[in-house]
Amino acid sequence: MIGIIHIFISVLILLGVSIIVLSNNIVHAAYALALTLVGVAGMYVLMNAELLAVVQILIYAGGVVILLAFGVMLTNRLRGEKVVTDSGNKWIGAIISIVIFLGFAYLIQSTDFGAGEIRTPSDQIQQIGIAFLTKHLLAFELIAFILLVALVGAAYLAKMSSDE
Amino acid sequence: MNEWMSTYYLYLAALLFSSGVFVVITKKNLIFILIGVELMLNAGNVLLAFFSRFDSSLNGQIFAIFSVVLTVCEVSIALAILLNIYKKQRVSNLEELQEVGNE
Repeated sequence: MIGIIHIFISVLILLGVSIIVLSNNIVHAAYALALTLVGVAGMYVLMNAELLAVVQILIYAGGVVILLAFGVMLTNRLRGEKVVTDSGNKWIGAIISIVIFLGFAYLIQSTDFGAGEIRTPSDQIQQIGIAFLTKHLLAFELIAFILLVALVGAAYLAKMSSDE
Repeated sequence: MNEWMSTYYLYLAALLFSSGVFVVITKKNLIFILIGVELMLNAGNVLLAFFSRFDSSLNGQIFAIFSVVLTVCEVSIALAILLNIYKKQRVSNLEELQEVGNE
């Protein structure tokens, strides 16, 4: 069951993550984030979560990364300074993140997940759509409202800064 | 489902989360820190989608989709705040940032 596609997706994610961790250039990191997010979308496809994979590519790789790139252009490039940033606390950060990773690894190794039986239905996109409009209707409407409020608020905040 | 397959996704999620923590701790630029937060949120979403496979009600996937939308809200607001901080105080390095708010 270990296909070449799993190795390919792991390499994609590892490459993106290591560029983000090692590089000090914000633009490189933003596009490496896009690479990582596409890799995660590939993982979703492997997990049979196709709708989530499409949402991931549309919203994250299409929206959030472009937003971050705009953020870089609107802040650092104004003064004509380089898009390179400093990094500090390297040892503390490395120790903390390695400890967190090892803690997760210990938990994963010591947990018996049992004989996991995959129960996702074959018509899952249809079922997710029905669930959004019946069982999760209130949450669905609320999240749409929150998105609207957040975007209006973000536009207002950004305009406030350009008035001065 | 064999043992290797179930831990593959979990290890990748652990890797995403711990590198997100590393980025948040070490980098000094606000946009870089947002990138680290994105990595951590993605690790959470991967776990939600993974464990949702064993549940026929698909609630995990639905929660992950909600979490993606909330992340978009968070990023847009955070970038607007960042833009304000930068315009008013001319800072993008966290070490130079001394106060947030009206002058």
